[in-house]
Amino acid sequence: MKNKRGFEFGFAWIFAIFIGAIVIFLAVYASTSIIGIKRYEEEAATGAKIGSLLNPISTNLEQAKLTTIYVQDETIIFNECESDSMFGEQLLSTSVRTSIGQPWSKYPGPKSTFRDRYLFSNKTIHGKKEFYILSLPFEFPFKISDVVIMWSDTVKYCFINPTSDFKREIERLKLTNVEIKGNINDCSLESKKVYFGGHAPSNYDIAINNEEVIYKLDSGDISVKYVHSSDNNNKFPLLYAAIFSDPETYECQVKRLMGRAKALVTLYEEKFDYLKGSCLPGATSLALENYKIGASNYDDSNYLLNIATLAQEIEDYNDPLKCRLF
Amino acid sequence: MKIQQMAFLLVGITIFFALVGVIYFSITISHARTSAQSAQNEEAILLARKLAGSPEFAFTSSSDCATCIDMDKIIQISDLSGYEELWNMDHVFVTRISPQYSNEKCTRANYPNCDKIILANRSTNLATKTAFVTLAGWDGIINSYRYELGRIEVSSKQI
Repeated sequence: MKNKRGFEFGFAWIFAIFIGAIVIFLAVYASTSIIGIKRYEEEAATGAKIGSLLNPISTNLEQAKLTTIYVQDETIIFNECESDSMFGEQLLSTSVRTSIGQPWSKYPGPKSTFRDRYLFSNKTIHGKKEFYILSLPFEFPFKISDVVIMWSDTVKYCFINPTSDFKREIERLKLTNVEIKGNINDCSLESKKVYFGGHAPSNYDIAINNEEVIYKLDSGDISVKYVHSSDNNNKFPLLYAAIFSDPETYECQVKRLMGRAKALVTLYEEKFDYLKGSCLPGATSLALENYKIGASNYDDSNYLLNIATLAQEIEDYNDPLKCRLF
Repeated sequence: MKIQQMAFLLVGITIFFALVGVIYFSITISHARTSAQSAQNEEAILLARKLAGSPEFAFTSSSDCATCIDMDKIIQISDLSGYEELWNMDHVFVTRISPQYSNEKCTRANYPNCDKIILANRSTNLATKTAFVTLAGWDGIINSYRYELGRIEVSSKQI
């Protein structure tokens, strides 16, 4: 017998399935969008928070400071540097790992832009729970800005045979994830090996000798130059900056610092002109002018040693003045 | 017929949740805007303190006042371009409170016989944050530095 009571797939069923599909699609779409928006919000907040944290860390009292930033979830900080304009730009963004959906968002959160901050680090800093920030004033010979250096709990550094004054400073600052050894073979395997002195063994990552920092990269060796700060209590901000940065970021940030130095020396020239009548009769601003030309011609860190000579001239000129420029 | 009723019910529920979603997002966005503005205001207060310590403001000619602002330096900034962008500020005023000379805006021509140095003034309807500071500058008459009471007013860029 043929069953005449078959299932009728009429308009009502088609309509219900269609509406049901739309409802499910909207629900899935809305929840993924909400998760995406929340993630973007968290990344934006983290980026802005880190940027704001660089502010109070600045050293008004001319002292070095080490601060730890704690994050709730695994985070990547993207440090971008632009040096084209007068003061250049420091761009910061973050990506936060989540347990829902893709662990890392395809694009980082919105970029926070700063023109008066100089963050020296690798282009991406991956931290599980902690980021370390070392802030040091940089004087050349007048204060130019604070140099901010960042690394994280996922990278360890091993300094081999640092010079005695640098070693004293590292010990005083108690840098986290940094160990000092006398022999490169005593360093832990995963650590970044920073060798001080000539004739570096072949398994170094960074070698430092005669105001030059050499990075051993897959693409070949790259070197940058550094100078000492004029502040005798904090002589090594650019050395720290070079060690904890990649060469490209270091060159870009130092170029920005020299842009700031040029703006500051212009300011001191104007101040000199103002004080000339009442306090500096017969004085000339030749040293300032030479420094300004040197800073204007700055292209990469090879120029630093020349400007250091001009900086010393300004310091020698300024120190005995009754109304000092700085 | 019942299935059709169910379908309309589902449509109704969807519209209801969509409306709830719209209200939730408008509240969240408004809250985010308020939080962002409040974070900016906090940053403005911090900036007022930080500005006083920045190399362009700090009085470093003498070691007896580490937190003073160098008036002889900042009067020069008022004529130089690019500094508003450096600090990301819409409004930066430095005003001498005591002793007062005249209420007019300082220029290189009338300095130091004036009280208000305007470094950025892009908008007038901003909630400004104020910090009291000591102003320092060279006085050619007494042949020494003079120290005076002042205040710094700042407000960051509007969102």
